Amino acid sequence: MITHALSLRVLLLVATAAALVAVLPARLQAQSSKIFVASYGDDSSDGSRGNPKRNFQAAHDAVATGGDIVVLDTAGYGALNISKSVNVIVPPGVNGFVSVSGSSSSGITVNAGSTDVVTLRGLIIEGGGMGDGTSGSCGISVGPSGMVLIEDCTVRNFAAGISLHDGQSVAVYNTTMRDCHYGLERTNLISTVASNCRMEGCPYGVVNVDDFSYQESDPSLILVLEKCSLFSDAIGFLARGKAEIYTSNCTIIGISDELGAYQQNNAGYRGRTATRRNNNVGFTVDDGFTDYFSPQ
Amino acid sequence: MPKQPMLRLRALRRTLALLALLLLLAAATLALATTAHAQATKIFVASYGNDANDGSRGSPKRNFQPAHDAVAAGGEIVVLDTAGYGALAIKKSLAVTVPPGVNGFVTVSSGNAISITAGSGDTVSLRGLIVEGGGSSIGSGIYVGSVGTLAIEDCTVRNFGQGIYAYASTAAQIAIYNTSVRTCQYGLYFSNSAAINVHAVATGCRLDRCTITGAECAAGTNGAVDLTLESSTVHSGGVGLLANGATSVLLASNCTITDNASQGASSVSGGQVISRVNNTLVNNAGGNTFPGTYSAK
Repeated sequence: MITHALSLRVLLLVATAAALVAVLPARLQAQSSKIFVASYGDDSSDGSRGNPKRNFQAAHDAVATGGDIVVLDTAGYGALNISKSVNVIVPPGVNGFVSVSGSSSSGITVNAGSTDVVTLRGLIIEGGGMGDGTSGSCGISVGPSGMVLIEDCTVRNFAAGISLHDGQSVAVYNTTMRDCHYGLERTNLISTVASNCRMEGCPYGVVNVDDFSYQESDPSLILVLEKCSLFSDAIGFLARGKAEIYTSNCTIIGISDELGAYQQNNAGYRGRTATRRNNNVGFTVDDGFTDYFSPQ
Repeated sequence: MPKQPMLRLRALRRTLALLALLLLLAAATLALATTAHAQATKIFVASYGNDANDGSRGSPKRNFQPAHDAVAAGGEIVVLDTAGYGALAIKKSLAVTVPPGVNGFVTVSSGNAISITAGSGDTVSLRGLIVEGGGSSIGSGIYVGSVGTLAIEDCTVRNFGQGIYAYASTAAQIAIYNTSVRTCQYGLYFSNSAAINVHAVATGCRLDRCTITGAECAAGTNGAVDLTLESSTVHSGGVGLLANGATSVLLASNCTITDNASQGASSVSGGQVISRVNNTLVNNAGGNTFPGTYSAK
Protein backbone atom coordinates (compact mmCIF):
# COMPACT_ATOMS: atom_id res chain seq x y z
CA MET A 1 0.00 0.00 0.00
CA ILE A 2 2.83 2.33 1.02
CA THR A 3 4.73 1.37 -2.11
CA HIS A 4 1.65 2.14 -4.19
CA ALA A 5 1.26 5.57 -2.54
CA LEU A 6 4.93 6.28 -3.06
CA SER A 7 4.82 5.40 -6.74
CA LEU A 8 1.77 7.65 -7.10
CA ARG A 9 3.70 10.50 -5.46
CA VAL A 10 6.67 9.88 -7.74
CA LEU A 11 4.33 9.88 -10.73
CA LEU A 12 2.78 13.14 -9.55
CA LEU A 13 6.22 14.67 -9.05
CA VAL A 14 7.35 13.63 -12.52
CA ALA A 15 4.12 14.98 -14.05
CA THR A 16 4.54 18.32 -12.23
CA ALA A 17 8.15 18.59 -13.35
CA ALA A 18 7.16 17.81 -16.93
CA ALA A 19 4.43 20.45 -16.81
CA LEU A 20 6.91 23.00 -15.43
CA VAL A 21 9.40 22.22 -18.17
CA ALA A 22 6.64 22.66 -20.74
CA VAL A 23 5.48 25.96 -19.26
CA LEU A 24 8.95 27.43 -18.64
CA PRO A 25 9.92 28.15 -22.26
CA ALA A 26 6.55 29.80 -22.82
CA ARG A 27 7.09 32.03 -19.79
CA LEU A 28 10.62 32.91 -20.89
CA GLN A 29 9.30 33.81 -24.33
CA ALA A 30 6.55 35.93 -22.81
CA GLN A 31 9.16 37.85 -20.81
CA SER A 32 11.33 38.86 -23.71
CA SER A 33 11.69 42.65 -23.74
CA LYS A 34 12.18 42.77 -27.51
CA ILE A 35 10.16 40.85 -30.05
CA PHE A 36 11.16 41.18 -33.69
CA VAL A 37 8.82 40.90 -36.68
CA ALA A 38 9.74 40.47 -40.32
CA SER A 39 8.24 39.66 -43.71
CA TYR A 40 9.97 36.29 -43.50
CA GLY A 41 8.90 35.68 -39.89
CA ASP A 42 6.53 33.12 -38.45
CA ASP A 43 4.16 33.59 -35.51
CA SER A 44 5.25 30.27 -34.09
CA SER A 45 8.83 31.55 -33.87
CA ASP A 46 10.11 32.89 -30.56
CA GLY A 47 10.41 36.46 -31.86
CA SER A 48 14.16 36.70 -31.33
CA ARG A 49 16.39 38.63 -33.76
CA GLY A 50 17.14 35.46 -35.69
CA ASN A 51 13.62 34.00 -35.48
CA PRO A 52 11.18 36.87 -35.89
CA LYS A 53 7.42 36.65 -35.74
CA ARG A 54 5.20 37.59 -38.64
CA ASN A 55 2.41 39.71 -37.14
CA PHE A 56 2.08 42.52 -34.63
CA GLN A 57 -0.62 40.86 -32.54
CA ALA A 58 1.43 37.73 -31.94
CA ALA A 59 4.41 39.93 -31.11
CA HIS A 60 2.33 42.04 -28.71
CA ASP A 61 1.09 38.95 -26.91
CA ALA A 62 4.64 37.63 -26.54
CA VAL A 63 6.53 40.78 -25.53
CA ALA A 64 7.08 41.76 -21.90
CA THR A 65 5.18 44.74 -20.55
CA GLY A 66 7.12 47.88 -21.45
CA GLY A 67 9.04 46.06 -24.17
CA ASP A 68 9.57 46.73 -27.87
CA ILE A 69 8.12 45.27 -31.02
CA VAL A 70 10.84 45.92 -33.60
CA VAL A 71 10.13 45.79 -37.33
CA LEU A 72 13.02 44.41 -39.36
CA ASP A 73 11.82 44.91 -42.93
CA THR A 74 9.02 46.24 -45.11
CA ALA A 75 5.75 44.28 -44.92
CA GLY A 76 2.16 44.40 -43.67
CA TYR A 77 1.93 43.27 -40.05
CA GLY A 78 -1.81 43.17 -39.41
CA ALA A 79 -4.20 44.96 -37.06
CA LEU A 80 -3.16 45.35 -33.45
CA ASN A 81 -5.03 45.58 -30.14
CA ILE A 82 -2.75 46.95 -27.42
CA SER A 83 -3.53 46.14 -23.80
CA LYS A 84 -0.26 46.99 -22.01
CA SER A 85 2.83 49.23 -22.13
CA VAL A 86 4.61 48.57 -25.40
CA ASN A 87 6.62 50.33 -28.11
CA VAL A 88 6.09 49.53 -31.79
CA ILE A 89 9.15 50.76 -33.67
CA VAL A 90 9.61 50.95 -37.43
CA PRO A 91 12.91 52.60 -38.40
CA PRO A 92 13.12 55.10 -41.24
CA GLY A 93 13.80 53.27 -44.48
CA VAL A 94 11.38 50.49 -43.63
CA ASN A 95 7.62 50.57 -44.30
CA GLY A 96 5.65 48.85 -41.57
CA PHE A 97 2.06 48.63 -42.79
CA VAL A 98 -1.14 47.97 -40.90
CA SER A 99 -3.78 47.52 -43.62
CA VAL A 100 -7.37 46.61 -42.87
CA SER A 101 -10.09 46.22 -45.46
CA GLY A 102 -13.51 46.37 -43.77
CA SER A 103 -15.16 49.80 -43.65
CA SER A 104 -15.68 49.44 -39.89
CA SER A 105 -12.31 47.87 -39.10
CA SER A 106 -9.75 49.78 -37.07
CA GLY A 107 -5.99 49.59 -37.49
CA ILE A 108 -4.58 49.97 -33.99
CA THR A 109 -6.66 50.04 -30.83
CA VAL A 110 -5.20 51.04 -27.46
CA ASN A 111 -7.13 49.74 -24.50
CA ALA A 112 -4.58 49.52 -21.70
CA GLY A 113 -4.11 50.42 -18.03
CA SER A 114 -4.20 53.97 -16.67
CA THR A 115 -0.41 54.13 -16.20
CA ASP A 116 0.62 52.25 -19.33
CA VAL A 117 2.84 53.96 -21.90
CA VAL A 118 2.44 53.14 -25.58
CA THR A 119 4.65 54.34 -28.44
CA LEU A 120 3.82 53.95 -32.12
CA ARG A 121 6.59 55.01 -34.47
CA GLY A 122 6.94 54.93 -38.22
CA LEU A 123 3.75 53.04 -39.10
CA ILE A 124 1.60 53.36 -42.23
CA ILE A 125 -2.00 52.56 -41.29
CA GLU A 126 -4.53 52.09 -44.07
CA GLY A 127 -8.26 51.57 -43.78
CA GLY A 128 -11.21 50.53 -45.89
CA GLY A 129 -12.59 54.02 -46.54
CA MET A 130 -13.74 57.13 -44.69
CA GLY A 131 -17.44 56.70 -45.57
CA ASP A 132 -19.65 59.33 -43.96
CA GLY A 133 -17.72 59.15 -40.71
CA THR A 134 -20.22 57.02 -38.84
CA SER A 135 -18.68 53.59 -39.24
CA GLY A 136 -16.50 54.01 -36.15
CA SER A 137 -13.37 52.80 -37.92
CA CYS A 138 -10.18 54.39 -36.61
CA GLY A 139 -6.62 54.33 -37.82
CA ILE A 140 -5.48 54.67 -34.22
CA SER A 141 -8.13 54.48 -31.50
CA VAL A 142 -6.86 55.65 -28.12
CA GLY A 143 -8.92 54.38 -25.20
CA PRO A 144 -7.80 53.89 -21.58
CA SER A 145 -4.03 54.46 -21.25
CA GLY A 146 -1.43 56.47 -19.35
CA MET A 147 0.51 58.02 -22.21
CA VAL A 148 0.40 57.41 -25.94
CA LEU A 149 3.05 58.78 -28.31
CA ILE A 150 2.49 58.66 -32.03
CA GLU A 151 5.49 59.62 -34.19
CA ASP A 152 6.30 59.59 -37.89
CA CYS A 153 3.12 57.72 -38.85
CA THR A 154 0.76 58.00 -41.80
CA VAL A 155 -2.93 57.20 -41.29
CA ARG A 156 -5.37 57.19 -44.17
CA ASN A 157 -8.82 56.07 -45.26
CA PHE A 158 -10.69 55.70 -41.97
CA ALA A 159 -13.76 57.32 -40.46
CA ALA A 160 -11.36 58.83 -37.91
CA GLY A 161 -7.62 58.98 -38.50
CA ILE A 162 -6.60 59.30 -34.89
CA SER A 163 -9.42 59.17 -32.36
CA LEU A 164 -8.71 60.09 -28.74
CA HIS A 165 -11.62 59.18 -26.52
CA ASP A 166 -10.01 58.11 -23.25
CA GLY A 167 -6.64 58.06 -21.50
CA GLN A 168 -4.41 60.54 -19.72
CA SER A 169 -2.02 62.03 -22.22
CA VAL A 170 -1.33 61.89 -25.96
CA ALA A 171 1.39 63.44 -28.12
CA VAL A 172 1.29 63.24 -31.92
CA TYR A 173 4.48 64.21 -33.76
CA ASN A 174 5.29 64.43 -37.46
CA THR A 175 2.27 62.40 -38.49
CA THR A 176 -0.06 62.63 -41.50
CA MET A 177 -3.82 62.03 -41.35
CA ARG A 178 -5.11 61.83 -44.88
CA ASP A 179 -8.50 61.12 -46.46
CA CYS A 180 -10.25 60.43 -43.18
CA HIS A 181 -13.66 61.89 -42.30
CA TYR A 182 -12.13 63.22 -39.08
CA GLY A 183 -8.39 63.69 -39.18
CA LEU A 184 -7.58 64.15 -35.51
CA GLU A 185 -10.57 63.75 -33.21
CA ARG A 186 -10.65 64.24 -29.47
CA THR A 187 -13.73 63.77 -27.35
CA ASN A 188 -12.53 63.65 -23.77
CA LEU A 189 -10.27 65.41 -21.28
CA ILE A 190 -6.93 64.10 -22.44
CA SER A 191 -3.75 66.18 -22.34
CA THR A 192 -3.01 66.42 -26.04
CA VAL A 193 -0.41 68.11 -28.20
CA ALA A 194 0.15 67.69 -31.93
CA SER A 195 3.28 69.05 -33.57
CA ASN A 196 4.43 69.02 -37.19
CA CYS A 197 1.35 67.10 -38.30
CA ARG A 198 -0.60 67.21 -41.54
CA MET A 199 -4.36 66.81 -41.97
CA GLU A 200 -5.16 66.55 -45.65
CA GLY A 201 -8.33 65.81 -47.59
CA CYS A 202 -10.44 65.33 -44.48
CA PRO A 203 -14.01 66.68 -44.25
CA TYR A 204 -13.01 67.67 -40.69
CA GLY A 205 -9.29 68.27 -40.13
CA VAL A 206 -9.21 68.66 -36.36
CA VAL A 207 -12.16 68.05 -34.07
CA ASN A 208 -12.23 68.84 -30.37
CA VAL A 209 -15.57 68.25 -28.71
CA ASP A 210 -16.86 67.46 -25.27
CA ASP A 211 -19.38 64.71 -24.84
CA PHE A 212 -22.14 67.06 -23.59
CA SER A 213 -21.69 65.89 -20.00
CA TYR A 214 -19.46 68.87 -19.22
CA GLN A 215 -20.59 71.59 -16.85
CA GLU A 216 -19.70 75.25 -16.86
CA SER A 217 -17.39 74.68 -13.88
CA ASP A 218 -15.46 71.89 -15.57
CA PRO A 219 -12.08 72.66 -17.12
CA SER A 220 -12.09 73.25 -20.85
CA LEU A 221 -10.85 70.59 -23.17
CA ILE A 222 -7.79 72.24 -24.61
CA LEU A 223 -6.08 70.90 -27.69
CA VAL A 224 -2.75 72.42 -28.70
CA LEU A 225 -1.40 72.23 -32.24
CA GLU A 226 1.89 73.65 -33.43
CA LYS A 227 3.45 73.78 -36.86
CA CYS A 228 0.65 71.72 -38.36
CA SER A 229 -0.58 71.95 -41.95
CA LEU A 230 -4.26 71.70 -42.86
CA PHE A 231 -4.71 71.35 -46.56
CA SER A 232 -7.76 70.78 -48.68
CA ASP A 233 -10.06 69.84 -45.82
CA ALA A 234 -13.75 70.79 -45.78
CA ILE A 235 -13.66 72.22 -42.25
CA GLY A 236 -10.26 72.88 -40.74
CA PHE A 237 -11.08 73.05 -37.07
CA LEU A 238 -14.23 72.13 -35.23
CA ALA A 239 -14.58 72.90 -31.54
CA ARG A 240 -17.84 72.04 -29.87
CA GLY A 241 -19.03 72.35 -26.30
CA LYS A 242 -16.54 73.31 -23.65
CA ALA A 243 -13.59 72.83 -25.87
CA GLU A 244 -10.82 75.03 -27.22
CA ILE A 245 -8.22 74.63 -29.91
CA TYR A 246 -4.95 76.54 -29.67
CA THR A 247 -2.86 76.69 -32.81
CA SER A 248 0.53 78.24 -33.33
CA ASN A 249 2.60 78.53 -36.50
CA CYS A 250 0.12 76.44 -38.46
CA THR A 251 -0.53 76.61 -42.18
CA ILE A 252 -4.18 76.51 -43.20
CA ILE A 253 -4.70 76.43 -46.95
CA GLY A 254 -7.54 75.50 -49.28
CA ILE A 255 -10.16 74.90 -46.59
CA SER A 256 -13.91 75.43 -47.07
CA ASP A 257 -14.36 76.81 -43.55
CA GLU A 258 -11.35 77.47 -41.43
CA LEU A 259 -13.33 77.16 -38.25
CA GLY A 260 -16.62 75.86 -37.09
CA ALA A 261 -17.29 76.46 -33.40
CA TYR A 262 -20.69 75.06 -32.68
CA GLN A 263 -23.15 74.33 -29.97
CA GLN A 264 -22.99 75.27 -26.35
CA ASN A 265 -20.80 76.75 -23.64
CA ASN A 266 -17.50 78.22 -24.68
CA ALA A 267 -16.32 76.38 -27.74
CA GLY A 268 -13.44 78.30 -29.17
CA TYR A 269 -10.48 78.61 -31.43
CA ARG A 270 -7.41 80.60 -30.48
CA GLY A 271 -4.87 81.10 -33.18
CA ARG A 272 -1.40 82.55 -33.37
CA THR A 273 0.89 83.28 -36.27
CA ALA A 274 -0.96 81.11 -38.76
CA THR A 275 -0.47 81.25 -42.49
CA ARG A 276 -3.95 81.33 -44.07
CA ARG A 277 -4.51 81.42 -47.82
CA ASN A 278 -7.10 80.37 -50.37
CA ASN A 279 -9.75 79.36 -47.85
CA ASN A 280 -13.36 79.80 -48.92
CA VAL A 281 -15.03 81.21 -45.89
CA GLY A 282 -12.40 82.23 -43.43
CA PHE A 283 -13.58 82.10 -39.87
CA THR A 284 -17.17 81.24 -39.09
CA VAL A 285 -18.46 81.14 -35.59
CA ASP A 286 -21.70 79.68 -34.44
CA ASP A 287 -22.29 80.34 -30.75
CA GLY A 288 -18.61 80.14 -29.92
CA PHE A 289 -15.67 82.45 -30.23
CA THR A 290 -12.56 82.94 -32.21
CA ASP A 291 -9.64 84.72 -30.72
CA TYR A 292 -5.94 85.14 -30.81
CA PHE A 293 -3.69 84.36 -27.92
CA SER A 294 -0.49 86.08 -27.06
CA PRO A 295 2.76 84.30 -27.41
CA GLN A 296 4.76 84.00 -24.22
CA MET B 1 91.04 20.43 -40.13
CA PRO B 2 88.73 21.31 -37.19
CA LYS B 3 87.84 24.99 -36.63
CA GLN B 4 89.52 26.83 -33.89
CA PRO B 5 87.45 27.46 -30.68
CA MET B 6 87.62 31.24 -31.28
CA LEU B 7 86.10 30.84 -34.70
CA ARG B 8 83.36 28.61 -33.30
CA LEU B 9 82.52 31.20 -30.70
CA ARG B 10 82.24 33.88 -33.41
CA ALA B 11 79.90 31.67 -35.46
CA LEU B 12 77.75 31.09 -32.38
CA ARG B 13 77.61 34.83 -31.73
CA ARG B 14 76.61 35.51 -35.31
CA THR B 15 73.82 32.92 -35.11
CA LEU B 16 72.60 34.36 -31.81
CA ALA B 17 72.65 37.90 -33.20
CA LEU B 18 70.70 36.76 -36.25
CA LEU B 19 68.18 35.01 -34.02
CA ALA B 20 67.78 38.13 -31.85
CA LEU B 21 67.26 40.23 -34.95
CA LEU B 22 64.61 37.86 -36.22
CA LEU B 23 62.86 37.89 -32.84
CA LEU B 24 62.97 41.66 -32.78
CA LEU B 25 61.49 41.83 -36.25
CA ALA B 26 58.71 39.41 -35.30
CA ALA B 27 57.90 41.42 -32.17
CA ALA B 28 57.86 44.66 -34.15
CA THR B 29 55.54 43.13 -36.75
CA LEU B 30 53.22 41.88 -34.01
CA ALA B 31 53.24 45.24 -32.23
CA LEU B 32 52.57 47.01 -35.50
CA ALA B 33 49.61 44.77 -36.25
CA THR B 34 48.17 45.30 -32.76
CA THR B 35 48.64 49.06 -33.00
CA ALA B 36 47.11 49.13 -36.45
CA HIS B 37 44.11 47.22 -35.08
CA ALA B 38 43.70 49.60 -32.15
CA GLN B 39 44.00 52.50 -34.52
CA ALA B 40 41.21 51.54 -36.91
CA THR B 41 39.18 54.70 -37.47
CA LYS B 42 35.97 52.79 -38.11
CA ILE B 43 34.79 49.83 -36.10
CA PHE B 44 31.61 48.11 -37.25
CA VAL B 45 29.06 46.35 -35.04
CA ALA B 46 26.25 44.01 -36.09
CA SER B 47 23.70 41.58 -34.69
CA TYR B 48 25.78 38.77 -36.21
CA GLY B 49 29.10 40.18 -35.00
CA ASN B 50 31.50 38.82 -32.45
CA ASP B 51 33.56 40.80 -29.98
CA ALA B 52 36.59 38.67 -30.83
CA ASN B 53 36.45 39.96 -34.43
CA ASP B 54 38.62 42.84 -35.56
CA GLY B 55 35.61 45.11 -36.14
CA SER B 56 36.19 45.53 -39.86
CA ARG B 57 33.23 45.79 -42.27
CA GLY B 58 33.39 42.06 -42.97
CA SER B 59 34.10 41.00 -39.39
CA PRO B 60 32.05 43.28 -37.15
CA LYS B 61 32.01 43.25 -33.40
CA ARG B 62 28.85 42.54 -31.40
CA ASN B 63 28.80 45.21 -28.69
CA PHE B 64 29.50 48.92 -28.35
CA GLN B 65 32.03 48.68 -25.51
CA PRO B 66 34.54 46.42 -27.26
CA ALA B 67 34.07 48.58 -30.37
CA HIS B 68 34.84 51.69 -28.30
CA ASP B 69 37.93 50.07 -26.85
CA ALA B 70 39.16 49.07 -30.31
CA VAL B 71 38.48 52.24 -32.28
CA ALA B 72 41.02 55.02 -32.59
CA ALA B 73 40.41 58.25 -30.72
CA GLY B 74 38.35 60.43 -33.03
CA GLY B 75 37.05 57.37 -34.87
CA GLU B 76 33.61 56.03 -35.50
CA ILE B 77 31.48 53.10 -34.39
CA VAL B 78 29.09 52.22 -37.20
CA VAL B 79 25.98 50.10 -36.63
CA LEU B 80 25.22 47.76 -39.53
CA ASP B 81 21.84 46.32 -38.55
CA THR B 82 19.07 46.37 -35.99
CA ALA B 83 19.99 44.95 -32.59
CA GLY B 84 20.77 45.86 -28.99
CA TYR B 85 24.44 46.77 -28.50
CA GLY B 86 24.79 47.09 -24.74
CA ALA B 87 25.81 49.87 -22.38
CA LEU B 88 28.70 52.12 -23.35
CA ALA B 89 31.27 54.07 -21.32
CA ILE B 90 32.94 56.65 -23.59
CA LYS B 91 36.38 57.91 -22.58
CA LYS B 92 37.68 59.52 -25.77
CA SER B 93 36.67 61.39 -28.94
CA LEU B 94 34.22 59.20 -30.77
CA ALA B 95 31.18 59.09 -33.05
CA VAL B 96 28.48 56.43 -32.73
CA THR B 97 26.42 56.33 -35.90
CA VAL B 98 23.18 54.44 -36.48
CA PRO B 99 21.95 55.12 -40.01
CA PRO B 100 18.28 55.62 -40.86
CA GLY B 101 16.71 52.23 -41.56
CA VAL B 102 18.38 50.62 -38.57
CA ASN B 103 17.36 50.53 -34.91
CA GLY B 104 20.41 50.63 -32.64
CA PHE B 105 19.29 49.94 -29.09
CA VAL B 106 21.07 50.47 -25.82
CA THR B 107 18.85 48.79 -23.25
CA VAL B 108 19.79 48.56 -19.58
CA SER B 109 17.88 47.52 -16.49
CA SER B 110 19.91 49.67 -14.07
CA GLY B 111 22.68 52.26 -14.04
CA ASN B 112 23.64 54.57 -16.89
CA ALA B 113 23.16 53.40 -20.46
CA ILE B 114 25.76 55.72 -22.01
CA SER B 115 28.33 57.38 -19.77
CA ILE B 116 30.76 59.97 -21.10
CA THR B 117 33.89 60.75 -19.11
CA ALA B 118 36.14 61.99 -21.87
CA GLY B 119 38.86 64.64 -21.94
CA SER B 120 38.22 68.37 -21.94
CA GLY B 121 39.24 68.59 -25.60
CA ASP B 122 37.34 65.50 -26.76
CA THR B 123 34.43 65.53 -29.20
CA VAL B 124 31.68 62.92 -28.96
CA SER B 125 28.64 62.46 -31.18
CA LEU B 126 25.73 60.05 -30.82
CA ARG B 127 23.30 59.60 -33.68
CA GLY B 128 20.18 57.53 -34.15
CA LEU B 129 20.23 55.55 -30.91
CA ILE B 130 17.24 54.24 -28.96
CA VAL B 131 18.28 54.30 -25.31
CA GLU B 132 16.01 52.47 -22.88
CA GLY B 133 16.21 52.23 -19.11
CA GLY B 134 14.88 50.11 -16.33
CA GLY B 135 12.43 52.58 -14.82
CA SER B 136 11.65 56.24 -14.50
CA SER B 137 13.73 56.70 -11.35
CA ILE B 138 16.78 54.67 -12.30
CA GLY B 139 20.08 55.92 -13.75
CA SER B 140 20.65 58.15 -16.76
CA GLY B 141 20.13 57.51 -20.43
CA ILE B 142 23.12 59.64 -21.43
CA TYR B 143 25.35 60.83 -18.57
CA VAL B 144 28.04 63.45 -19.16
CA GLY B 145 30.76 63.64 -16.53
CA SER B 146 33.34 65.34 -18.74
CA VAL B 147 33.68 66.20 -22.43
CA GLY B 148 34.69 69.06 -24.69
CA THR B 149 31.91 68.96 -27.26
CA LEU B 150 28.95 66.60 -27.42
CA ALA B 151 26.33 66.30 -30.17
CA ILE B 152 23.24 64.10 -29.81
CA GLU B 153 21.04 63.71 -32.90
CA ASP B 154 17.94 61.72 -33.78
CA CYS B 155 17.94 59.73 -30.56
CA THR B 156 15.13 58.45 -28.36
CA VAL B 157 15.76 58.19 -24.61
CA ARG B 158 13.15 56.74 -22.32
CA ASN B 159 12.54 55.34 -18.88
CA PHE B 160 15.37 56.71 -16.75
CA GLY B 161 15.77 58.89 -13.69
CA GLN B 162 17.47 61.42 -15.98
CA GLY B 163 17.14 61.26 -19.74
CA ILE B 164 20.18 63.36 -20.69
CA TYR B 165 22.15 64.43 -17.64
CA ALA B 166 25.27 66.61 -17.66
CA TYR B 167 27.14 67.04 -14.40
CA ALA B 168 30.29 68.22 -16.05
CA SER B 169 33.70 68.81 -14.55
CA THR B 170 35.03 70.19 -17.86
CA ALA B 171 33.81 73.22 -19.80
CA ALA B 172 31.35 71.56 -22.16
CA GLN B 173 29.39 72.51 -25.27
CA ILE B 174 26.38 70.24 -25.74
CA ALA B 175 24.03 70.24 -28.75
CA ILE B 176 20.91 68.07 -28.94
CA TYR B 177 18.95 67.83 -32.17
CA ASN B 178 15.68 66.12 -33.07
CA THR B 179 15.71 63.94 -30.02
CA SER B 180 12.87 62.58 -27.92
CA VAL B 181 13.14 62.14 -24.16
CA ARG B 182 10.16 60.60 -22.43
CA THR B 183 8.93 58.97 -19.24
CA CYS B 184 11.89 60.06 -17.15
CA GLN B 185 11.93 62.08 -13.93
CA TYR B 186 14.15 64.69 -15.57
CA GLY B 187 14.24 65.08 -19.35
CA LEU B 188 17.26 67.34 -20.01
CA TYR B 189 19.25 68.27 -16.91
CA PHE B 190 22.40 70.39 -17.08
CA SER B 191 24.69 71.09 -14.17
CA ASN B 192 28.39 71.44 -13.36
CA SER B 193 30.49 69.73 -10.74
CA ALA B 194 33.32 72.31 -10.89
CA ALA B 195 33.72 76.02 -11.55
CA ILE B 196 33.29 75.69 -15.30
CA ASN B 197 30.66 76.68 -17.84
CA VAL B 198 28.22 74.33 -19.54
CA HIS B 199 26.54 75.69 -22.66
CA ALA B 200 23.76 73.64 -24.23
CA VAL B 201 21.37 73.99 -27.14
CA ALA B 202 18.41 71.73 -27.94
CA THR B 203 16.49 72.09 -31.20
CA GLY B 204 13.47 70.14 -32.42
CA CYS B 205 13.28 68.04 -29.28
CA ARG B 206 10.27 66.43 -27.66
CA LEU B 207 10.13 66.08 -23.89
CA ASP B 208 7.08 64.08 -22.85
CA ARG B 209 5.99 62.88 -19.44
CA CYS B 210 9.11 63.91 -17.56
CA THR B 211 7.54 63.90 -14.15
CA ILE B 212 9.82 66.33 -12.28
CA THR B 213 11.21 68.68 -14.96
CA GLY B 214 11.21 68.63 -18.74
CA ALA B 215 14.34 70.78 -19.10
CA GLU B 216 16.37 72.12 -16.20
CA CYS B 217 19.54 74.14 -15.69
CA ALA B 218 21.00 73.88 -12.20
CA ALA B 219 24.42 75.48 -11.91
CA GLY B 220 26.66 75.06 -8.91
CA THR B 221 27.82 78.16 -7.07
CA ASN B 222 30.60 78.83 -9.57
CA GLY B 223 30.41 78.65 -13.32
CA ALA B 224 27.44 79.25 -15.60
CA VAL B 225 25.01 76.72 -17.00
CA ASP B 226 22.69 77.67 -19.83
CA LEU B 227 20.35 75.95 -22.26
CA THR B 228 18.85 77.45 -25.39
CA LEU B 229 15.70 75.51 -26.24
CA GLU B 230 14.43 76.06 -29.77
CA SER B 231 11.37 74.67 -31.59
CA SER B 232 10.78 72.01 -28.97
CA THR B 233 7.75 70.59 -27.19
CA VAL B 234 7.52 70.05 -23.44
CA HIS B 235 4.35 68.18 -22.67
CA SER B 236 2.57 66.42 -19.86
CA GLY B 237 5.34 66.51 -17.25
CA GLY B 238 5.78 68.13 -13.83
CA VAL B 239 7.56 71.49 -14.32
CA GLY B 240 8.13 72.22 -17.99
CA LEU B 241 11.17 74.51 -17.81
CA LEU B 242 13.19 75.28 -14.69
CA ALA B 243 16.30 77.35 -13.96
CA ASN B 244 17.72 76.75 -10.51
CA GLY B 245 20.58 78.86 -9.17
CA ALA B 246 21.95 82.34 -9.79
CA THR B 247 24.09 81.40 -12.78
CA SER B 248 21.50 79.20 -14.48
CA VAL B 249 19.77 80.51 -17.59
CA LEU B 250 17.21 78.75 -19.78
CA LEU B 251 16.20 80.53 -23.00
CA ALA B 252 13.10 79.38 -24.89
CA SER B 253 12.17 80.22 -28.47
CA ASN B 254 9.37 78.84 -30.66
CA CYS B 255 8.55 76.19 -28.09
CA THR B 256 5.25 74.70 -26.98
CA ILE B 257 4.98 73.98 -23.27
CA THR B 258 1.64 72.52 -22.34
CA ASP B 259 -0.24 70.19 -20.01
CA ASN B 260 2.43 70.19 -17.31
CA ALA B 261 0.97 69.25 -13.94
CA SER B 262 2.94 71.73 -11.83
CA GLN B 263 4.43 74.71 -13.72
CA GLY B 264 4.99 75.63 -17.32
CA ALA B 265 8.04 77.82 -16.71
CA SER B 266 9.63 78.48 -13.36
CA SER B 267 12.81 79.84 -11.83
CA VAL B 268 14.16 79.40 -8.32
CA SER B 269 17.18 80.62 -6.35
CA GLY B 270 17.98 83.38 -8.81
CA GLY B 271 17.81 81.31 -11.97
CA GLN B 272 16.40 82.81 -15.16
CA VAL B 273 13.88 81.25 -17.53
CA ILE B 274 13.52 83.75 -20.33
CA SER B 275 11.48 83.77 -23.49
CA ARG B 276 11.86 85.31 -26.94
CA VAL B 277 8.11 85.98 -26.68
CA ASN B 278 7.27 83.54 -29.42
CA ASN B 279 6.34 80.49 -27.34
CA THR B 280 3.03 78.78 -26.69
CA LEU B 281 2.74 78.36 -22.94
CA VAL B 282 -0.80 77.20 -22.21
CA ASN B 283 -2.80 74.85 -20.08
CA ASN B 284 -0.14 74.17 -17.46
CA ALA B 285 -1.33 74.01 -13.86
CA GLY B 286 0.72 77.16 -13.11
CA GLY B 287 3.58 79.14 -14.57
CA ASN B 288 1.81 80.14 -17.78
CA THR B 289 3.96 83.24 -18.15
CA PHE B 290 7.73 83.42 -18.39
CA PRO B 291 9.62 85.06 -15.53
CA GLY B 292 11.61 87.08 -18.09
CA THR B 293 12.15 87.81 -21.78
CA TYR B 294 14.98 88.39 -24.23
CA SER B 295 15.06 90.01 -27.64
CA ALA B 296 15.81 88.49 -30.99
CA LYS B 297 19.00 89.89 -32.45
